[in-house]
Amino acid sequence: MTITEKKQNDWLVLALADRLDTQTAPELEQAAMSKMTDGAKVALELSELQYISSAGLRVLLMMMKKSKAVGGQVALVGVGGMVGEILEESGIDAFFKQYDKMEALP
Amino acid sequence: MNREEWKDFPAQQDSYEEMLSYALACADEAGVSMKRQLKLQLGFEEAVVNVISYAYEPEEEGKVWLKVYADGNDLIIEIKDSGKPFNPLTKEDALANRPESLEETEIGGLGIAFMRRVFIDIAYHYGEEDGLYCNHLTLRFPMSQ
Repeated sequence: MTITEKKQNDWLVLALADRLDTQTAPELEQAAMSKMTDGAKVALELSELQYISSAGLRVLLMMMKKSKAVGGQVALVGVGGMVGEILEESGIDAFFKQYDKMEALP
Repeated sequence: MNREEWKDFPAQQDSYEEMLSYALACADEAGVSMKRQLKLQLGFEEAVVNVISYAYEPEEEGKVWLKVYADGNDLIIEIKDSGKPFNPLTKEDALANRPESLEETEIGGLGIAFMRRVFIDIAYHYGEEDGLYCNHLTLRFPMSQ
């Protein structure tokens, strides 16, 4: 999995590509959790992500919980395909604001 | 290669990629489409990670055995380990009752929930096989849907 950092307004955007699974979830955890400082706005850009498993969902939820604790925000961008199906089936999509593109981030 | 023979791997996180590659190669040979292989990966990952993470004590050098083969229109994945008895079917399905809040979301039960949605049949038994007491999981995956 590759993680590319971008900026959009006052959002830090982490663009993920390929697979977020048991092997790569620790990379995201390490990259994302350190960014979740007070009031931080972090978005995950998922249009190039092909696959997500419960290991990946675990990190997403960790990010959401940490974000709530520090008064920040987490959003998902470009959700679709199998990743979208998994997020919907797990019910975890309901916990995140979603945007079609990075440019739509407020 | 005879896909109905067991292939063994060390029961550790480092083995996961090799096990996945092996399972997907068998699936490809059996004619499972790339799209269906993605779905298969989801169930396979959950099943295998359970074994790698929990079957053996950290200091034990345990093994996981895999068998992947076609049975009519289905792909069968058999996963065996000689670790402590554990039936994943007894784990609560986290999606059976949708959580109302973030605090209630139990990620631990998502693995088995995904397995139940990917495989049309999951069978578990624990017993002696070739001189070892084994957890034996048999997963049935429809090759087309």
